[in-house]
Amino acid sequence: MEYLDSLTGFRLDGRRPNDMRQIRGEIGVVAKADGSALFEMGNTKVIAAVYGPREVQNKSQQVNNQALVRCEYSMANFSTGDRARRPKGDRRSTEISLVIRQTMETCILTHLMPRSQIDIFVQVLQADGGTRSACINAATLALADAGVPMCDIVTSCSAGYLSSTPLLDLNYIEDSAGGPDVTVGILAKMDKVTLLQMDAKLPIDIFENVMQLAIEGCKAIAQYIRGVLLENTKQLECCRGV
Amino acid sequence: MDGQSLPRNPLAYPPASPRRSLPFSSSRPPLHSSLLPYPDEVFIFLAPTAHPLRCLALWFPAAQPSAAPTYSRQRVAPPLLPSGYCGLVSSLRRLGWRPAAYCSSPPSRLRISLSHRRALVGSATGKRMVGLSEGEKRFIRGGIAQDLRTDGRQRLHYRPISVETGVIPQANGSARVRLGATDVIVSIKAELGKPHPLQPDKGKVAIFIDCSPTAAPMFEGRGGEELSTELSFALQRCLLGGRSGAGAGIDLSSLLIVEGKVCWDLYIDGLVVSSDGNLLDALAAAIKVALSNAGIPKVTVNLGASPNGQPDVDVSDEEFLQFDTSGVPVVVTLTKVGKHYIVDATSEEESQMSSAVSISVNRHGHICGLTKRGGAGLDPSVILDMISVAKHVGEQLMSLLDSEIAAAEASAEDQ
Amino acid sequence: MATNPSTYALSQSSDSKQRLQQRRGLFQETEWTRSDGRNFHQCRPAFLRTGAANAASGSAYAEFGATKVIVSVFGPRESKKAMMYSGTGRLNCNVSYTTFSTPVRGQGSDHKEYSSLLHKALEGAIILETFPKTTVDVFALVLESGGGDLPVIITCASLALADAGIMMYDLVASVSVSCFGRNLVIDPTSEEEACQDGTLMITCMPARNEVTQLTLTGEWTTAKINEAMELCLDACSKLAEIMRSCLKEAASGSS
Repeated sequence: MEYLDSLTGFRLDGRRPNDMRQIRGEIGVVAKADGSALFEMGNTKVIAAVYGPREVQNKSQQVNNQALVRCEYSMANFSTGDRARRPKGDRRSTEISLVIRQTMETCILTHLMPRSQIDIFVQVLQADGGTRSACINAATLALADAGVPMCDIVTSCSAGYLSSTPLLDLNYIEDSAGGPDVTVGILAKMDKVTLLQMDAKLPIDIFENVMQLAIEGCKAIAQYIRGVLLENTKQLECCRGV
Repeated sequence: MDGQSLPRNPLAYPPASPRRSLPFSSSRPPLHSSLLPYPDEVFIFLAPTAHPLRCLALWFPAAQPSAAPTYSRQRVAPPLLPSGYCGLVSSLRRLGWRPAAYCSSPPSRLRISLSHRRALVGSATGKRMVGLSEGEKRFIRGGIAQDLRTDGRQRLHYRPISVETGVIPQANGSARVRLGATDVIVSIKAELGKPHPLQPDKGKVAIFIDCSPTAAPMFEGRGGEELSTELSFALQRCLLGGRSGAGAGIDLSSLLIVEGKVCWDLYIDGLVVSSDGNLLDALAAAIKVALSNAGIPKVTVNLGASPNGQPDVDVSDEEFLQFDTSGVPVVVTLTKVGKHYIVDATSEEESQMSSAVSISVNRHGHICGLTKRGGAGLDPSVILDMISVAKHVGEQLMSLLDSEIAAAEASAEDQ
Repeated sequence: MATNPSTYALSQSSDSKQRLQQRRGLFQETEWTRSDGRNFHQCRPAFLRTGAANAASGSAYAEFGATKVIVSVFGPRESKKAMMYSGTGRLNCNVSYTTFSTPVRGQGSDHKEYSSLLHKALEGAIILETFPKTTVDVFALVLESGGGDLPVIITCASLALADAGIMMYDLVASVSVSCFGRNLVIDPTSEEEACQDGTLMITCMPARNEVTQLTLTGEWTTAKINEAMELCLDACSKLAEIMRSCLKEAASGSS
């Protein structure tokens, strides 16, 4: 299958190799949660809700010098093209939950909230590649909405290598092509990588290019997320009549 | 309303006390001032909670447009006004102020909304209990008895309902319905299948509901399963009619393609994204909207093409058939609190219920299904009374939904 | 059993399909006779016994026509450690079917819908305040499913609870009616249930005249609901009499 048009160099969905899909973030989509956000990357759509910091529910998990961060990733039955009843807690969602948890833990100032618990729930409404990245971006927004202290914002983006070209932000078709898929999460201001996943082999010089592309994507997302948060803060200010 | 003429209500004008600027306006600026929208004016009321270090902070917008009208609606009789912190919170909530801050020990700046304290606790029954104090409980019950609920509604008033269609492009039809803070998404997928051998002249419909943990932390893991199955069964009872198929909201014979061989299997998947009571009504409304939004691909059947009797079915990509949703009922849940019953209960109100009856009503005013939830017994005459009320409310809801569907379709066409 | 034993399951299934089609036509008529010779408003003879299982703190066996149910009640016993403190007792209900309970083998296992309906039906009748911090487990096992399973399970469970000495406001009795065209048929058999247009099931406490559970499917007019409810409530009070006498008998027999 041809993933790049040989004439124009456009991808299947009409993007250039280093184009990202349309992204959109919205804060406060779940009224009852302490912080919540919706994040869309093209057709991928996820909702994240944050509950906490609150008392630790299961006392045996309590950590005395820092907050306990928990995460659960779930996919809606209708999120993929073919309808499938998926059991909760299958291996894939457990793995993604773990990845999101570890990534978010690095940016949350957990030492400020000893003996408390922060729950991050991400729900995939539509999956079209890059759910992992979208979940992390949504979780960042939701955590900021919840007012959880963070040292920086984490953003994530994926990049792949198909038809000898590094491609930014793979969609489902490109993702299922079986090529290498690099998911990167960075702390935007500190310029530190907190998440790096790849499940194929790639020569190291090409890998550097692909990763650089993904990092560029992360930075673009970080800028957007910052804008969304600022806008939200302004709105809150406006509501209060300041 | 003129602020000066108001009685000097200690709740409305918290005295400027030294506590007032405890953690938030300390000289050190907040760590993430760009991220955290901390209000600079915070009213803090020390709460007599179990934890000595804990206090509760409330902020409210100084110039909230809705504050004045809400206040003028206030009809709280002095003896009803509960004392103490809980009463304070509910009174402020009643005035339209949103509690937003809750801090633990002063050095760390946390913003936890009030809902934390009321972590939803699931009992074995799937009935949700909201951690409310005695004062708050009394306040809710008292409000219902006086026909003025905590959010200013009357007993038989629904919260504002908002409808969106086509939210899931991959599905044949989808809808998102919001009732106050309750938010559900329903998608409809049609797949080719084989009819049930005992009912060769009918298609199949399956309803699955899923409670996302985003709605409440208690739905984490397998926590939501019990509620999910209960909702799925209740909806099946309310929408799919009797065993013979009579009185079904969805005409199953319209799903048939070749008798005994091929039919459409309709999968109705619901997802509860945010839950603030009255999930069943919201889900049923979303199913109704999603069905009217659904397009079933047109099929052409080539009988006798294959010798083994399996007909050749060609599914069209372009032509879609619309569903006839005029027969799909709406569900009205009447929740009994004290001596009265209310529609569209919030989760706080649901926690105070003695029992609830979900009644599905179709366009002809016939009852298509009924489920009683919650334990306490009801007098048979009360049930009949509830049915007649539900019929009346259902009619209103139905016409409201119809206009919402039309509006949603019009806006979808505009795009 | 009244029906002739059939040797081949296969031929029977195609046969039963045909029969079902015929019956469906028949049931739409205004007058037909029920397979067991009852008239429309006549319930099946009820056979009730307490003390069916020795290990349980209370148990009961019920047989309504072909429907046979055994319910055992355990507790009140200490709630699981993971459960949070509760000032009232908890009720845990579970309904399961044996593998041989239905004509098609292997349809057994737990029945979640019935478990939750049973729970709701009993919850209102038990005085849960009398045993805080503890749990009562109600396990219902359907030995043979012959129609009207849930009403029989509920009735039998309330008898078992009484046998276990758990405080209740009243015994709960449960009866269902099926609707065929214009006819209302009380206490349907599974054959009738398969072709019904709608069903209404009531669980009530006759002494208090309170309905603890009510489910309804199919399309009904208010007048018809009225009629069906009256029919059921009447049958419930009669069934409660039988339950009461069964308990009295058991009490006088043991002493």
